[in-house]
Amino acid sequence: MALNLRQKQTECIVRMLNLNQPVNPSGTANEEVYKILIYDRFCQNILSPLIHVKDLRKHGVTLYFLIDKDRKPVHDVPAVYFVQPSQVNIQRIISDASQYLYDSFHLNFSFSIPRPLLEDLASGTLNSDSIQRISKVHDQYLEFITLENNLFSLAQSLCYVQLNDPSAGDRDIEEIVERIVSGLFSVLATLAVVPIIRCPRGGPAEMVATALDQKLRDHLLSKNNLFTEGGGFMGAFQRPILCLFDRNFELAVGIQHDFRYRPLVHDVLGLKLNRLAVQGEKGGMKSFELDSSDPFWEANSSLEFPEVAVEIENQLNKYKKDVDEVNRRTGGVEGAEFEGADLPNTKHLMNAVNSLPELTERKQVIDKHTNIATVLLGEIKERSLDSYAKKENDMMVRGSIDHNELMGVLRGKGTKIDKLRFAIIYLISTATINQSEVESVEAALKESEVDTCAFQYVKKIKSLNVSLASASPASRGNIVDWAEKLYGQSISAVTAGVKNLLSTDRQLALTRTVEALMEGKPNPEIDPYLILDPRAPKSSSGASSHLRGPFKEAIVFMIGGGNYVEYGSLQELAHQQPVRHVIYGSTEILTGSEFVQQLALLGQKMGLGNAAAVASSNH
Amino acid sequence: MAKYRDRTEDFKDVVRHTAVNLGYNESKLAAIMASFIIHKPRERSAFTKAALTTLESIGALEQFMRKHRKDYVDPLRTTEQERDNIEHEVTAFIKSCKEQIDILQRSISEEETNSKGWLGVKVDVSNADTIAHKQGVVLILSEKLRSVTAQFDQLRAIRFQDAMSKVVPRRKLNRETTSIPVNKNSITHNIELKEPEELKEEHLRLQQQHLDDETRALQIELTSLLDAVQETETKMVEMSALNHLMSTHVLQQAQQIEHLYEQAVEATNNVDLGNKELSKAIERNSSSRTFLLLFLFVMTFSILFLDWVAELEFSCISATHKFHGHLSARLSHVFAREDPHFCSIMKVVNISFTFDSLRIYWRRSGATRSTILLPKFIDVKGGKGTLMNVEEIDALLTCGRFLPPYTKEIWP
Repeated sequence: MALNLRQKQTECIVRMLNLNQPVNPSGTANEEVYKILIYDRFCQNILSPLIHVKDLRKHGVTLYFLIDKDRKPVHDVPAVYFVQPSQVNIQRIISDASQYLYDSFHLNFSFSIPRPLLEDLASGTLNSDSIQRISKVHDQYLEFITLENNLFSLAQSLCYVQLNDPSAGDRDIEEIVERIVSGLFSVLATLAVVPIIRCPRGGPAEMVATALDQKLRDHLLSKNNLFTEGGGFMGAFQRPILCLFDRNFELAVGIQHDFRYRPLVHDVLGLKLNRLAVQGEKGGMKSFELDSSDPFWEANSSLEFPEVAVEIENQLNKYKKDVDEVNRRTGGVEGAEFEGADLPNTKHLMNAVNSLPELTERKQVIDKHTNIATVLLGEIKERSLDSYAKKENDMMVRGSIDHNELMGVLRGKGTKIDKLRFAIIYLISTATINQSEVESVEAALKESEVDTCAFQYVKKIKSLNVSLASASPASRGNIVDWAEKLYGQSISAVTAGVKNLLSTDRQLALTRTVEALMEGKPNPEIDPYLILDPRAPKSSSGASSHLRGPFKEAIVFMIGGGNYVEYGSLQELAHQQPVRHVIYGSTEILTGSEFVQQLALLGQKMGLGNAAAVASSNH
Repeated sequence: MAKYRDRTEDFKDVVRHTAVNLGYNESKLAAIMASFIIHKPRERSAFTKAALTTLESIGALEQFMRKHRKDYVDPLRTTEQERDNIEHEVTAFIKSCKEQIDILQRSISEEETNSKGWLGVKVDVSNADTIAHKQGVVLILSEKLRSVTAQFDQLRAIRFQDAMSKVVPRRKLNRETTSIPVNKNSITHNIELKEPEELKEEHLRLQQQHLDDETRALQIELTSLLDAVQETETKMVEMSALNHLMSTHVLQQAQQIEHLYEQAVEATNNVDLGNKELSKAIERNSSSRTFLLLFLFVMTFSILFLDWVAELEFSCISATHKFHGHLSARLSHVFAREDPHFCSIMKVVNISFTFDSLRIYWRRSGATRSTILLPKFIDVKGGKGTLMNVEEIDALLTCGRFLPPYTKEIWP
């Protein structure tokens, strides 16, 4: 029972498009074959990475609209609404119904619709005498965006700012936690599993964990709940673990530069909802889609950029060879072939004709990646991102940096944000703050007109809470520990471990912790973590052995913005021995500069730095 | 299987509460609740009905194909004849589906033109969204049909491949079978040859041998013919397979070419329109040029004219100075004739010419009644530029046309 989030959510969407009737094997033999789909912005974001427009047509959707678009009546056809349960949407549905836009309305809400909104809907449609047109109302529990098979986002922006805002009241925080919990609940309902929840004590992670635990408990009490089928007796043995973390657990990953293909594309070119817009050669914008339908992306997105370039070259050569092969077999250059064996010749011709579509497809993929790589290379050269990535990595591993080197980077190439990110990494990675050095860094930043709000904020946080820097010096020590532990195990594990150390240089603290949590062996680092089991009776203290694992499946959730670096690292973990399955999610997927902007916002709220310079730092 | 929750019951519950709160009576409430349970059977439009039947027939086609799939592919089950029948039937079926879809498409385009013609009048029947919806239905249908035909194409490809691979071994097999009897025959003949016989028999034998030779030759000829026929057959099969392959691709290309053709037609239209616009522009340009030339021409002449006039005026003024004295003397004379009382009082101060008048300003000196010197003027109408001549002015003043009409008003 692999937890394939993307597949499960797609199943849900397909079922919803078939008016929540069971899909019969022969496709849609259902009476209402043709329908119109109406969604709001948020639900559009849910749909777009999952299902292509072409595939919508396969399920009988003839037209699809945004809900706030001006629409004309189409009779004789049911309308499927897929919207968030909000006041605005309800009002719009009422007005649609009263104008008799469509014959019947099948309402699907992305999350459980609260009673007051249902009452509004009822009174609105009663008043306009259109109640008979509302034929079905459904809760879908789909309030999250699945970007890849094992990656999801709740699309809740500025979560980090809101949670760490010094001026936020208890109610604000509760609201945010409530939103996160409902998103996570959707994910779990879609996967139909009740996991064991682990999280570090204190902070937002614990709040979310307890709230989620409570919500699951409440839900499990009701008889016909969402988890009865999926969590049968099978599930009792193979329950996944849900690890909740706060962004403050490892701040550096959100900021540092990375040199692998997927994080680079995301960070530099702004990958959004698996879609990418790139400046073409002739000035026009080109838009690309990067998802599981692209075999090259699937295979190579976790490689370092130079390797990707080599791989593109290889693919291109292979493609050229295949084309030559086809040409040689079918081309009329060598007339000799006609005389002896004309039978193979016709066969070749047929093969060639059949293989042409495949070849053109391959060519398109290669062209796409060549385009992307060219643009990336241009950016890398201009901003010398390779040296940023390398030096930041060095800093994190060694925990210190030569002063001259530091100042050299700050005065060298790169955008303002790049320099700011480098400075913050310096701040996080060094164990002790050398006051004069920090001041000189600040001076260098000001020299190149960088807004130092974010820098100031991190400095302040660090001085308040020294344990924030757990990432770097601890990681140094831990890698050694880790290696020792591996040597203590069997030979195969050792080789695997060494290879892993060589390939990644450094494991993220997050990945390390998740691995430890999944193994479930006694480990001083993870023992104080909270354990919550929503299935267990509340009275038991939850220290029984089965709650500690080992687990084969894990869902890792980062509160306050995740990124592709962590996703890649966790997927690497999943492919090691023993094979595990890790799903990674976050409140939103942020690039380094977006995250630094959030830090800057916090800095401003704390009254640090100069507010005016924020606007200039946006690029 | 992932989960969702049906909230329709909840909704009904809420509706009941709200209805009661709004003060609906029993019967009305019951009617509303009933509308939930029994949905009104909707009357479908002709279009939807047609679309549904088309979909059904495509479904039937698919089922038919699924049913006969094994028969068609497996060479042991059916004869070629039967397979041809299946193929024929499927083709006919596909054709009829295609026709139905075409009918639907035509009805849409008719509707579209109608709705354009009746701007605003028939909006409720067919608006842009409805037409888009219908287009979508047709698109779905044709996509479905295409997928089914693609499946059938695959089956056909399998059949041809089978046929081709089957033909090759059979040919070899046939050769062996034909060659073996020939050998046998020769062996038997050899045996016959060895038997010592008499002359008659010898003759008979010769005759027989002759016959045998003939048979053998005939056999060889027939075998070679058979070979040739078989070879031709394989070639034909290959040809037909290739033909079929090509035909599907040609069909695709035909569509593309049609598309291209349409675009080309559109492009030529656009070019024509553009040419028209260009020629118009050229026309306008040339007319504007003549106008401009005319304008410049006129302006040149007007400037010349103005220059001439200015010169004229200048010469007039310079001329006046010459006969200043003469004029004042003449005026005094005229006034003396008209009104002797003022004879000695005139002194011409200034004379100015305009195009149509001559202005003479004079002062009265030695006035008896008034001590104020009044500047006065006289207009001479109709002079037009020729007045610079001293003689003419003289004539004008003397001929009596010049009579100050206001003398009495001013000087009572």
